[in-house]
Amino acid sequence: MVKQKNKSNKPKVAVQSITGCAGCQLEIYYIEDVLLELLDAVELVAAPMIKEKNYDGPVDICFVEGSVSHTDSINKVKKWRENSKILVALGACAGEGGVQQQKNFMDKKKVQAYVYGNKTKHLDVETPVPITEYVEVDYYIKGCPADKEEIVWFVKQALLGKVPKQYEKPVCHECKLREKYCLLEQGQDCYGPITFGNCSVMCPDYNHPCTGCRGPFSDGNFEEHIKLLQEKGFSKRLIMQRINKYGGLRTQKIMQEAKDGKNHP
Amino acid sequence: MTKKITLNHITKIEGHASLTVSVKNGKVTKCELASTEGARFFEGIVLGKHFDDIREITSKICGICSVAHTIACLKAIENAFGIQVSDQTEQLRELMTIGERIRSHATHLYLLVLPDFLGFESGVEMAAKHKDKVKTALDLVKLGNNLVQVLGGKEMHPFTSIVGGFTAVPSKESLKELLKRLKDAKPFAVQTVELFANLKLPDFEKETEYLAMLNRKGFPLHYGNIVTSKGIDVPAYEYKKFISEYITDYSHSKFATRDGKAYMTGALSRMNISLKDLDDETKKIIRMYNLKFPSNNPFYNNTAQALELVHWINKAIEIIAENDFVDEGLPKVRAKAGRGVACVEAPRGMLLHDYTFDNHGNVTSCNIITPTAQNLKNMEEDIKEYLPQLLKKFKNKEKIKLEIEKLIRAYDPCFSCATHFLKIKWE
Repeated sequence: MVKQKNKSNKPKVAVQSITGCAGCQLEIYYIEDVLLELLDAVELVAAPMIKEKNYDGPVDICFVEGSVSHTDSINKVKKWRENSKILVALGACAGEGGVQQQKNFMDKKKVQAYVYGNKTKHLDVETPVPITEYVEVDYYIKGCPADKEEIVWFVKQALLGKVPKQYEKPVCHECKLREKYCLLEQGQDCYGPITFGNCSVMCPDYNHPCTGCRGPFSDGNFEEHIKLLQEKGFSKRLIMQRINKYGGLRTQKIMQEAKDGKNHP
Repeated sequence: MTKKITLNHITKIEGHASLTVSVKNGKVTKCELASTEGARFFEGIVLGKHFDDIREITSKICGICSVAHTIACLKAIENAFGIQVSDQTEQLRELMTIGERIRSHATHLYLLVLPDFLGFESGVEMAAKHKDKVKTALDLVKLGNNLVQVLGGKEMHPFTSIVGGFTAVPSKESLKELLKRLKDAKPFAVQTVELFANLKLPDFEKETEYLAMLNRKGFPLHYGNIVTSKGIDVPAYEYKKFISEYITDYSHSKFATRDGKAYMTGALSRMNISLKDLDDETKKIIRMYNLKFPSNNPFYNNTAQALELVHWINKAIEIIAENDFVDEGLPKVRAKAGRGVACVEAPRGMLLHDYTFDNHGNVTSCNIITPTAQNLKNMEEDIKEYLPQLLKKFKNKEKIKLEIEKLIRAYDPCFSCATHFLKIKWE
């Protein structure tokens, strides 16, 4: 699309987006303090939300926000994978499917018809899934929206030639380390024990239970947590709606694997 | 001779959209502004969900204006259940919304609009020559983000504001720090007005109907009737009397119109309708730069946003200086069956949420009308009138494209917000 005028040795970075709220991408531009330095260390070659000229070719790092919810997105995601040395799923939509994937646990036709009347058969709609359903990603920056501190940290690591490992502890673990009082013990339905942690803002610090925006914790004991919340008086229907809010698709897989005995030999 | 102009992916806006225009003998025969954003079906997804969850879900409609969606949703729920929130809750919500207003307008004005007028392809490219301007933008964005974070927990999709109140109240120290920074930022807001007042904005005017909220006690944010420049004046729950949504065959987009006719919402509409409710300093600045409102020039939406920066920074200073916020505890909420409608002024214009609940507090119906859905028809009509003028003036197709894009960007459209939008192929 765009011819590169100056050949630079800086790593080429692209910020691409499919169906979502654009909030994750904004988190990149909202790295207020070090944004200009960061943009100086790389070459931002594509970012249609803030750039008129967008390069279509190979890049070193490509961030993708949004879920695949539209037929057109499948080819885009595959092309970005092909063109990128490092592909990063940016935020809950790209990594889990995000809030729109709740449709998967409802009567999809009814949901669509509610918004679009009887013309839904012409819609170019795909069932909302994370980009990981179609391509392999090298890293997943969690959160809804993606955490900008983690974005900065990731870019620094990448500039040093490293692709970091994913953080693998639940929210509950960090809450305990900080010796916060426990909202679960206070009778609230907190999803901290079954949600990936490393949040820079902890909802329980603000007296608000964790609602699972960083996605289901792979080693979480979902069956036990559901039982515990039921004992506290929450209905199974409400618990499942909340568990499925951001990452229901992966939750179902984790629960199925636990049932099949894969996680607990 | 027929000329076709296609903008496949309109850049520097929020979300995905395309434009197709056909021109025959200097006349526009087709003008279709379509969203290419994948549909997310929010109104369908919230069906059957508990009232405590829908504020979180609908705030995800949009990243940049998630506070506006949060407040519109909460107010609609509270209207349905007959809950009156405390004065403090109203002030805290207002402060949080002001934070969002500052970051949203600063992002739009400096990073999406200004590069067009100064001849750069992006804010990134502009930074090389105008580092001070990009720095001002980032400082204002940071101030707005910090305000939302301190009030709402997170700077995007805030979570502390719940039905009836707040789960946490900001500390005195954090507010004191914000007060200082708001005062420090004020000159930069005034500078932004100066910058946009001195830009040579295109000389294009088109009469239309302007819609904004009006509350007669101050510049509109969370309260007031829906008012238009052509005589409508109704409470939010009566919106269906004059706002109708229709579907086009090229974009399956629900366009919100007044009886099929275009109208405009946003900062320019707010100026045109509520000018006398601005604070004194902002009014003085309007006189100082000889800015004329009401205006029929859509490019003045940019100038109006710059003026709002000054007004809302002053208002935030006033709220923090005059209040002592205390922990009021968590509200007791009792769900009841019924309907609740509420509107707020989002950065891009009037935003409306409408829900019905059963007696368990689960959603049975939902309708959301976003500012962009309301502005689309007006944008199309503007393009139809502006394009023939451009064709007379310029030969270069790229130049014409850029001028149309400038017009589209002046509206600050947000295609993620326009939940109903989807481009479809008709068989």
